[in-house]
Amino acid sequence: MQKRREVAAPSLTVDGGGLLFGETPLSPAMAPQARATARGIVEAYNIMGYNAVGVGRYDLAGGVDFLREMAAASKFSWLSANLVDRADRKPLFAAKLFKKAGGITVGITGLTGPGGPPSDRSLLLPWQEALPPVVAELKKKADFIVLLADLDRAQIDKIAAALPAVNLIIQAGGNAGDLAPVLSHQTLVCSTAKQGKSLGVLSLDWQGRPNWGQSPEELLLDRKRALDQIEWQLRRAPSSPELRQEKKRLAAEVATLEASDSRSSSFKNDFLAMETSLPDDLQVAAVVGDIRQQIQRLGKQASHRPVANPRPKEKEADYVGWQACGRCHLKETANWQRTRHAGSYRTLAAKQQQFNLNCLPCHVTGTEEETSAALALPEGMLAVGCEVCHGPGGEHVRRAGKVPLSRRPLVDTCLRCHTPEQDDHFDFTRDLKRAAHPEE
Amino acid sequence: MNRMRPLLILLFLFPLLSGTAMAGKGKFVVFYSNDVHGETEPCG
Repeated sequence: MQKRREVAAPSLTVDGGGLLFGETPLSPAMAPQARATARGIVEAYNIMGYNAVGVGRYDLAGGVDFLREMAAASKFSWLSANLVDRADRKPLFAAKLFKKAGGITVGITGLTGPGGPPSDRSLLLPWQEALPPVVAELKKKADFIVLLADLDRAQIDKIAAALPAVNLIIQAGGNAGDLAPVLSHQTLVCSTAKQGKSLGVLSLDWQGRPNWGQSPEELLLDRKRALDQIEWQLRRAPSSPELRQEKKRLAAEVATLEASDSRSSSFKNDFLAMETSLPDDLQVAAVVGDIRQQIQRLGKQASHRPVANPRPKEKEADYVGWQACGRCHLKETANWQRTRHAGSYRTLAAKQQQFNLNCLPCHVTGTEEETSAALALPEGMLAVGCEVCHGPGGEHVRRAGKVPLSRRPLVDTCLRCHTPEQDDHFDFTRDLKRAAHPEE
Repeated sequence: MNRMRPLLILLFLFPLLSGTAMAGKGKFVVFYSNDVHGETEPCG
């Protein structure tokens, strides 16, 4: 927000899609929390002054009607050229938007990707059918066309090849990290890290044609620096004919660049890390705080209700909690208690997130699914305990250790939570040593 | 004149067909994000 206020140039703010919900299907237990979060995100985007958001496949996780309710509450446009009503094949959301940015008219459209939740209401048209007529309409008025596309890179490249009038594609659903802008044919393709970790800032000097090149200002600066270096060397070796020749050449190049009026379109891109735990805008911080309180309230209510789908008794008995392990494995338990795994639930509670079903499964033992069962675990499960790495210990305890447990966790066990989005520095070999018991 | 008509039509239509010849110029900034996935703050 602060950076956006600092930018003096005209600007627009867009999102490629995949805004409201995560990639996993919305379970009945998760739905109230996820919908409350989605409402809060729309409110925050209203405050942040977004202009347009692409309808991503996962934005439909709450249903078409819920997303239309969100669109009605949005001060920005939800765009999809290919998501249509199954009955009349008319777009369910706006297909295009024109926005002035300085002297430029920017046309914006969106594409929804395949693989979203099935719906009786909506139909997804292939972009080959839906996009060309919308781009043709945008071309009539727009100087620059932006596509918000929830599609993989192969499809993006095909669009760039087929529709060169599309100048910029903001890609959703593509990669885990920030992707520096790349040119696909004549189209710039950009995307940021998932989960709102950063905001891309693309400064464009648009010369009316996609003849992308180095920024003339940067090129001039580069040549001036080179000229300064030559002049410095000439002071030490004033009679060098090579240096004099080079100075003459560079001076002429600088003069040409300074006088030049024929310029390439150019861009410069930065990624701003978004510190979501401390939003710099008081209004957005208030929205985030309100979402957290709603999740706490919903979670507390759910934790007092009978679990809708309780785990089978035999599976429930499999987990015994870390205290049961500690009765025999004293040293290992003492060692574990010094690890961050032991305090994983406490860190949630400290942030008032202990009822957040998005967070809980990776901070407790005995639940691998985001169900309300996670809200009603006994105290011994409220940590990433022994059984997360070694497997359920019920049979091992009942038969006094005669049923062996896994001594070493598999990499997949750790990767369930240490995902690139949650822990981009995770290294299985290195980090296992930190979590392992000294004698292992 | 009749023989020149196709050429005149082509000259008139060219900017529309090329899609870029009439495009305006200017500097602007696009702030962008994607795949927020319902995340509002880190878990812990």
